[in-house]
Amino acid sequence: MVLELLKYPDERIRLISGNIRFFDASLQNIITDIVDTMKANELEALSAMQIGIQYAVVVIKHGEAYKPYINLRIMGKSGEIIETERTPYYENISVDVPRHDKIKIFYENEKGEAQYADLEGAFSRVIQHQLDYNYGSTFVDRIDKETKRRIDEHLPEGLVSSSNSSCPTIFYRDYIKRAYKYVMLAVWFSFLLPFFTEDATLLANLFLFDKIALALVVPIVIAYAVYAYYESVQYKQCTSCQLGNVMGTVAYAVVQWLILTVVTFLWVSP
Amino acid sequence: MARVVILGGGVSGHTAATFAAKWLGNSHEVVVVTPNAKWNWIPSNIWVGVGQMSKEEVTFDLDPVYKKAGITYKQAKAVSLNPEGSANETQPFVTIEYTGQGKEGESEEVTYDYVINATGPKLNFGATPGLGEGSQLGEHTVSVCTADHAEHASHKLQESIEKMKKGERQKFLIGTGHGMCTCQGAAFEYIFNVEHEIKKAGVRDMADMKWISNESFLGDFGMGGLHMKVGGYVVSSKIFSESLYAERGVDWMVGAHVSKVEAGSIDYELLDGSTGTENFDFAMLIPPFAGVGLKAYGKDGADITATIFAPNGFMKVDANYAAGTYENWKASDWPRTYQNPSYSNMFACGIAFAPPHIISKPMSSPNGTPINPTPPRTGMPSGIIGKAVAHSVCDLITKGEGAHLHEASMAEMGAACVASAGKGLTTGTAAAMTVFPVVPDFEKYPGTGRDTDYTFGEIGLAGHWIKHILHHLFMYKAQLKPGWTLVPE
Repeated sequence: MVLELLKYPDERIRLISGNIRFFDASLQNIITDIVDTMKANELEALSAMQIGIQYAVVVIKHGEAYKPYINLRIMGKSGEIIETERTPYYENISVDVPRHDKIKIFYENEKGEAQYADLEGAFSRVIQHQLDYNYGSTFVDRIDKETKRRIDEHLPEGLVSSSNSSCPTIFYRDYIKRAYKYVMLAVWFSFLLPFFTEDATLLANLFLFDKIALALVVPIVIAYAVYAYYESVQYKQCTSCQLGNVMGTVAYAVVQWLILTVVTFLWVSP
Repeated sequence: MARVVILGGGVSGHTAATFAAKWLGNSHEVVVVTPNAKWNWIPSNIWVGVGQMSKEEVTFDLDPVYKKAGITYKQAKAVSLNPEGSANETQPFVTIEYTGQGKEGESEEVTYDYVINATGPKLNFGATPGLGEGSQLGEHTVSVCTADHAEHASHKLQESIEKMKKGERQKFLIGTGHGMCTCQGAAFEYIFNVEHEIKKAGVRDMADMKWISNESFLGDFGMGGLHMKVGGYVVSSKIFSESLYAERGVDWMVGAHVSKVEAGSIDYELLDGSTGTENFDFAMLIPPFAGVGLKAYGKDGADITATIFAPNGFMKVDANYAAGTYENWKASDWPRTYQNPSYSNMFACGIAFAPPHIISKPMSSPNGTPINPTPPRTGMPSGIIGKAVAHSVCDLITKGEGAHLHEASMAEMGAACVASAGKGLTTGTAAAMTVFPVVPDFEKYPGTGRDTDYTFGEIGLAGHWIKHILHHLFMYKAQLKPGWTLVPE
């Protein structure tokens, strides 16, 4: 069956494919779908992920034959060649991509038998290009930052279509963090005022405002620390990493607060 | 009064012992049998291995900590288990051989009501000729598996740096020393810390660096890959690692089984059956792990080691060891309670339990050499499992035989690796990678077996700051300083 090719900005291109574990009719169906789609679009190579199937299957056209490369791996490499690549995903973009010249690959055939090959040149490049799709990637992860930035600007929605909505772990503690950040930001801005006015009452009020604001930051940061601890132990894993992060964040806030306090008393204090 | 004997004082054993002592109080006895006088926060050995931390900073004396916690501490190594007792002892017991406390070489039979096996691995240097003799590190390569090894590695690294300063090129080969190693993450961290140190010494241009490992793709880490969040989207550890290696100018080779080590060179076999030789001036190759070689005897003195331990020497627990080939693997094959199926008063945690199968895709060369990472069971999962096992044992003691056992399956646990590349506060970089669950659940998450949306969010601060904080946090916790229970595993 001919399936639709994933096109920008379809976020599924970022999915990481699973290994094929069953060499059965379902695998044959995947291969048939890939081959049909290749024929319909006159493509020389196609990975399952490019038609929305999240499995490590790549098909490459050799002459008239279509050959599947299943659970592909690169074991070793040497040399580097830069050549222009295109992908049906980002239409109208072609870019120079560095690839390994020679590679040593492992893959499995339709029967699940291990196969090995030493490749070079164009074939080596095609394999590397197609393999990227298996790992949620395209050539944009292989190029220098400057080129990547230019592509990012060129694309209507940018390179990275945000997938934040699909991330299940939203930390509510970040809202508290934002609260004390805004308060501290306000204090920063208040430091500008003495440049523009010498009005004693205004400056006295400003000093009072800063003192209240700085006093307010203390309980918010404490609330952040307490809530963040509570939130991090809700998860069964990586609680220590989160705790480390929280401690770092609090330390950072304390340092900022200290600087603000010192500046307030030295600079704003009438 | 019941007695709980914990064999091993590593991450999981120490966690189990300290929690058991806290929960059981003075009415029961907790005994720790460990051959080491010091506790070691193993992840920080990487920093010892590049001379950024001293051995003393990553270790502390166990004796005062156990005194404070009310734990009986025997500095000895466990030799054998008699789960049914013997002809002249009705209670089950463990035979130990002292390595310290002035009783070196003496044997003792310690009876128990419950035993927790947390012996960790034997560093099986003997598996690869030339890598070492049995559990002893050989002369050609270095290791960062223990604080002592790491200190030695640091001296060797300094020697290489001195040579480079004198204009002598050096080849660095870092990775795994056998086809069935685990702990690629440690070697990964080490290679980038070494690279960082060499750069700092101003001799990066004199060094050729190469990674060699048994992973089937760069960034497998024994877990079939992890993922990380960069700029709002998920990136595979493969793509991340490949760009990191390219950026730092580190060459790599994967799918490799190191078959022999000689002075200055290794022989290897690749997944395709081909063989080759790689030269080195400095090599840090992680050894494979095996069980510590505990024996078990029946009441009549018959050897029942094979009943209790898997062939690789790790203890059998409530896992499905008959899962068969890759396509049949299920998340439910993995243990939940870590109770030995033959003896219900026997548990294993940390590296000491026998996993039902590996996590990455199994691979072997046409010659039949298995070349695939074995499952990592270190760090956080070890701590969590140790605590769950301690909880179960305490409940069995205080609530009776029918108590519900606590569960901690690696198929329901996530893992996070914060890999640092350089220790400096301002110059180091690090990456945080996550995966959920550690063991793929193909039924729940078809395809990869993983929840690929799952991340902990982007690490807000530079990752290596976290690594620093974690170091101090865990050293603090393990020394049972005030508030230690607040620090999670």
